Amino acid sequence: MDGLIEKLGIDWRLLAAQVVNFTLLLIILHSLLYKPVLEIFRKRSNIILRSIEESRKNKEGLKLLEQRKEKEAREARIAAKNIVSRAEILAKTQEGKILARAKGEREKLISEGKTIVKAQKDAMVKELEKEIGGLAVAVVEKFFNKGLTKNEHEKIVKNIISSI
Amino acid sequence: MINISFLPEHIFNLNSFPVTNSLLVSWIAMAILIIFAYLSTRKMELVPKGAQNFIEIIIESLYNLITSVTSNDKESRRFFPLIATIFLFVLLSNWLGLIPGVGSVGIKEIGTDGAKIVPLFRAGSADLNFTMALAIISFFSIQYFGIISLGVFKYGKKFINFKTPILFFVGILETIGEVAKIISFSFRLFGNIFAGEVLLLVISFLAPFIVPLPFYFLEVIVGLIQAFIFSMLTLVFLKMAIVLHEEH
Repeated sequence: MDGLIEKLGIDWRLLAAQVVNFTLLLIILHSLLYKPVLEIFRKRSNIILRSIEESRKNKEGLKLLEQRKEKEAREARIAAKNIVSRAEILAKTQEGKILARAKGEREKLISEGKTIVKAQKDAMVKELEKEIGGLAVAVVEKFFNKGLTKNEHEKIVKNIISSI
Repeated sequence: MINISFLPEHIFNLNSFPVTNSLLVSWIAMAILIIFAYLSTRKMELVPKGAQNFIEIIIESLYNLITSVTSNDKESRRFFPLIATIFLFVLLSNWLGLIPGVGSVGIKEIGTDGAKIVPLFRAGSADLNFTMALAIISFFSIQYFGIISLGVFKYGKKFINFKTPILFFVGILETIGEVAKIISFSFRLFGNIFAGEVLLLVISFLAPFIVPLPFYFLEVIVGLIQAFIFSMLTLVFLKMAIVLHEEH
C-alpha cells in the first residue's frame, strides 16, 4: 500500500497543504467575494421587489383615484343638472315678475302719456280758439270798418268756433 | 528528448516543507483568485461596471446553476461557497497549466542519468495530491451536510442497517461507493488534466507550430468541463446526502 501511494506521488504533507490551501481560499473568497456579491444581489432583488410592490400599490391607487374621479364627475354632473334646473325655474319666476313689472310700467307710462297729450291738446285748443277768435274779430272789424263791443266780440268768436 | 514526469517535481524547501511545482501553481491560482476577488469587490455598487460586472456574471451564473440542481434557495446559499470555490479553483488550476512556459520553463539539473530540465510550474490538477485533497474535502463536506441535515442516526442508517440482510448488504455497498468517490473524483480530474498536458507536450515536440493549436482549444474545453464535472458531482452528492434515503 505504501509503495503504491509512493508511486502515485501522494505525500501526506502536500495533501494536507492542499487541503489547507483550499480551506483558506474558501474562507477568503467567502468573505471577500461571495458574501458581498450575494448581498448586492439580495439588495438588488429587494429593490426590484419593492419597486414592483410600489408599482402595484400605485396602480391600485390610480384605480381608486379613477373610481373617485368618476364618482365625483357623476356627482358633479348631477349637481350641475340640479343647478341648471333650479336656475331655469328661478329664471322663469324672474321672467314672470319682470314681465309683470314691465307691463305695469308700460300701462303707467301710457296713461301718463295720454294725460300729457290731453293736457297739451286742451292747451292747444284754447290757444287756437284764442288765435281764431282774434283773427275773426280782426276780419270783421276790417270788413265793417268799425270797432266791436265786448258782447259782439264774444258772440263772433263763439260763432266762428262753433262753425269750425 | 521530452521529459514526462508522472509525479510533481520538488522545487525548493520552505523550512523543511517540500514545495513542488504543482503546489507553486496552486498558490499562484489562489493568489490570482484572491486578488481578482479583492479588486472586483472593493467598490461594490448597485449598478455594476467593469470587473464587478464580470464577477457578477460568473457568480450569478454559478448560483443559478446550483439553484437549478437544488431547487431550493436556502440549500443553494449553503452549498454555494463550496461549489463555487471548487469550480473556480479547479478551472484556474487547469487553465494555468495551458499557459506557455508551464511544464517547459525550469531549472537545469544534472543527475546521475545526465542533465534534465525540472519544470518550475506544473498545473495544480496534474498532481494527485491536489485532486485528492479536493476529493477528500468534497467527501467530508458530503458527510458533514448529510449529518447536519438528517442527524447522525438517520444519515448513518444509509451505511449501517440491520433491519434486513439485504439492507445490511446495501449499506456495505453504499460505504464502498462513498469511499470510492474519493478515488473516482481525484483520478478523473488528475487523469484528464495530466493526459492533456502529455498530449500537448508530445504534439508540441512533434510539430511545434500551428498543429498544437487545436489541441490547446481542446484542452481549454477539457479544463472547463472537468471543473464543471467535479463541482457538479459534488453538488449532486451533497443534494443526495441531505435527502432521506427513502425519499429518493
